[in-house]
Amino acid sequence: MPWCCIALISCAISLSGCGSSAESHEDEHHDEHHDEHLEHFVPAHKPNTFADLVDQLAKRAPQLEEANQPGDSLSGSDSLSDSDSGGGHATALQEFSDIVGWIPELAADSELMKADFESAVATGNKLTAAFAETLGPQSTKPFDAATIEPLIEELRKLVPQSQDRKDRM
Amino acid sequence: MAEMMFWGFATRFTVSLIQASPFILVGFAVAAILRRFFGYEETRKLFGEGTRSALFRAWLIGMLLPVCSLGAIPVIREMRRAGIRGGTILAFAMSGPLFNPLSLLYGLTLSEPIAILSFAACSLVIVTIVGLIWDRMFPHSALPIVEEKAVAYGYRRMLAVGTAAGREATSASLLYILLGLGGVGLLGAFIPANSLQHTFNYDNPLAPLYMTGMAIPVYATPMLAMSQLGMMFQHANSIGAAFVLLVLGAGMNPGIVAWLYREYGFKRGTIWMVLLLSIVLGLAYGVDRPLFPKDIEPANHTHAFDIYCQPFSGPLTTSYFEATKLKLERDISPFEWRPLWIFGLLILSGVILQIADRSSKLEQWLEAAPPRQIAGRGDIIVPGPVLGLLSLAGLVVLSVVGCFAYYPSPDECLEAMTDARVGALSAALSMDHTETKYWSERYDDWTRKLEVGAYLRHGELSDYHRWKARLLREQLETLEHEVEDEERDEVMKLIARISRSHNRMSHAFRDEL
Repeated sequence: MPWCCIALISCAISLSGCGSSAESHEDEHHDEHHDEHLEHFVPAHKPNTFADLVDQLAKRAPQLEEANQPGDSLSGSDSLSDSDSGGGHATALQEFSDIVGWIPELAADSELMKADFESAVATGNKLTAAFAETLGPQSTKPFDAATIEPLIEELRKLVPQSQDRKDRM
Repeated sequence: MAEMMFWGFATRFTVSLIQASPFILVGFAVAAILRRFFGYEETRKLFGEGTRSALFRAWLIGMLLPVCSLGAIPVIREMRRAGIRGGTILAFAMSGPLFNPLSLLYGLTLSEPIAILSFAACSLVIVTIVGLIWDRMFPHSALPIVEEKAVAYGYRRMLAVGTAAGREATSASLLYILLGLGGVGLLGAFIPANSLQHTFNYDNPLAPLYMTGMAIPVYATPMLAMSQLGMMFQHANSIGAAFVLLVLGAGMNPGIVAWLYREYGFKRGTIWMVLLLSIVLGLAYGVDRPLFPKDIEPANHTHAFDIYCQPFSGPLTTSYFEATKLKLERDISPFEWRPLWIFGLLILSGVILQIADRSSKLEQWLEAAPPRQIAGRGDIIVPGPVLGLLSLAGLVVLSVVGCFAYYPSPDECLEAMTDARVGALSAALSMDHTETKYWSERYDDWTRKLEVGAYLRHGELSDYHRWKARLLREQLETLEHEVEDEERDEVMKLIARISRSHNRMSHAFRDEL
C-alpha cells in the first residue's frame, strides 16, 4: 500500500509540474536553484494603507455612478473612463467590492484601536450591503453613490487615528 | 543518491517516532486499562456493542481520547480481542486520531473555524456511513467472545495494567506502529525536496485526489495535521485536499491498513478501503468550494508538505550523519525526547517479561481469585470498570488541563516569543534564509499559541485580535520569501513593518482583551 501511494504521488508531481526548490531549513549547506517563485498574489488595486483605501473608495464611487449614465462605462482601474465595454463597469464594481473587503485587513494593519477597528468593519459591512445588489452578473440596479458616500465619510473620520503618530503631524 | 534516500528515511522516521511517542504511550495505557479495568464484557458495553449507538460512541470516545493513528493501534487490537464488530473498531481507529482538545482549540483559531467544525461533522458522517455499510455486509466480523479471568484487587490490579501495557508494547502492535512510521519514512526517501509546494493549490482540481495518494503513508499527529491545515488555509490551498489530509493523513497509516487486511482478509479489507476512500473523496470535493476562505488572496504554494519530502537536496558540505544529527538537534526540543525514552522503557519491560516469564506465571498470579474480605475499616472495593472510566476521564481531563500549559497566557506568550522574534529579524537582516525560516516558524507558532491562550482564558477572541496575529504571520512569510529572493530593500521595509505589527499585536493582547 505505501508503495502504491508513493507511485501515485510521484505521478502527481510529474503531472502537476511542481519544481520549486525553495529551501527548507535543513538545506542550509546547499546551493539553491529557483525554478519557480513562491508567490503571494497581491492585486494591483489593493491599497497600501487604510487612508489610501478610503481615498480609493472616495475616488471610485462618483466614477461608478457616472458610469451608470447612458453611454458611460468603466475600465475598472484608475483610468476609469478609458474603456467602453460593459465588462469594464463590472470589473470596476468588483474592484470596489474588493477594496471594501480589505477594510478589516487594512484597519488591523493600522494604529486603530479595537473600538475604531470594529467601527471600520461595521461600516465596511454596511458598504457591502449597500451595493451588494449592483454586483450580480444580471443586475440592473444602478450604483447609488448617495448611499455609499456617507459611509465613506464615516471611514474617513477614522483615518487620523489610523495613522502613525509621525504621519499625523 | 541511495545515501541521501537512506538518511531521508531515517530522519523522517525518527522525527515522526519522537512526535508520536506521547500518543503511542497513551494508546498502550488505554489498551491496558480496557484489558484490566474493564475486561472484555465491560469494553463491549463501553463501546455499545450490538446497539445502534455503537458507531457514535466509538466516534465520541475517539474524539475525546488523546491518541494518534499509531496510538490507536493497541486500542483497536484490544477492541478486537473484546469481540467488538469491525465497523465500530474502524470508526474508533478513524476518529481517534483526528482531534483532541489541544488540536481542536488550535483549529478554532484558524481563519475559518467553521471549516474545522465542518470537518469534525464530516468525520462522523464518514465513520457512520462506512461502519453501517460494512457491518451490514459483514455482520459476523467480531471475534468469538472468550472467557476472561478477573484480576485481584489492590496493587495487583495496578500491576496488571502495567504488565498488560508492557506485553502489548512488544506484541504485533509494535510491528504495526513501525510499519506506520515506515510510510512517512518512505516519503522522506522518495519524494524530492520541496516538490509538493504547488501540488495542492486551490486551482488544481486533482488536489484532493493527489492528497488521497499521499495521505495514507503520511503520519501526522493531531496537532501537526491541524497546523498543516492552518498553513493550507493561510495560503488558500485546496480545502478538499486539506480535508483529505486531516481524515487520512491524521486518521490512517500503513500500520492500520496492514492490520485491517490481516484481521479481516483481502476482500473485506478492500471493501472497507474502497468505501472509505469513495466517501472521503466525495466529501472532499463537496466541501472544496463552500468552505474556501473568502478573505484570503490565494498563494501559489504551501510549505505544509515540505516535511514529507526528502530533507536533503544536492551535495552536502558535511556527512549525512552529521546533517541528520544537526537537524534532529534543531527540530526536536529536549523535552520531546522524554516520551521516547519512556516508550523505550515500556518496550524493555515487555522484552524482560517475554524472556523471564514465557509461561505467563505473573499473569496467573495476578489473576488469582480476589479476597472476599478487605482489611481496613471504611475501605471499599472499587469495581474495575469504575476505575477504568475514571482513568479514561482522567486522560481527557489531563489533556484539557494540558491545554493551559501548552497555550500559556498572552503575557507569557509575548514574553516567550522574544527569542523567536529577535532570531527571525536578525537572520533576515543578515539575509540568512535558513535561519530566517527556522525562527519565523517558531515566531509564527507563538502567535498561534497567543491566540489560543487568549481564547482559553477569555472564552472568546475578537476579529481585531485574530487580525493582529494573522497580519504578523503573513508578513513573516513574506519576509522569508524576500530573504530567499535576496531582495534586501524589501527585507528592510518588512523588518520595520513586522516590528510595528508586533507592537500593535502586543498592545492588543496586553491591553485590549
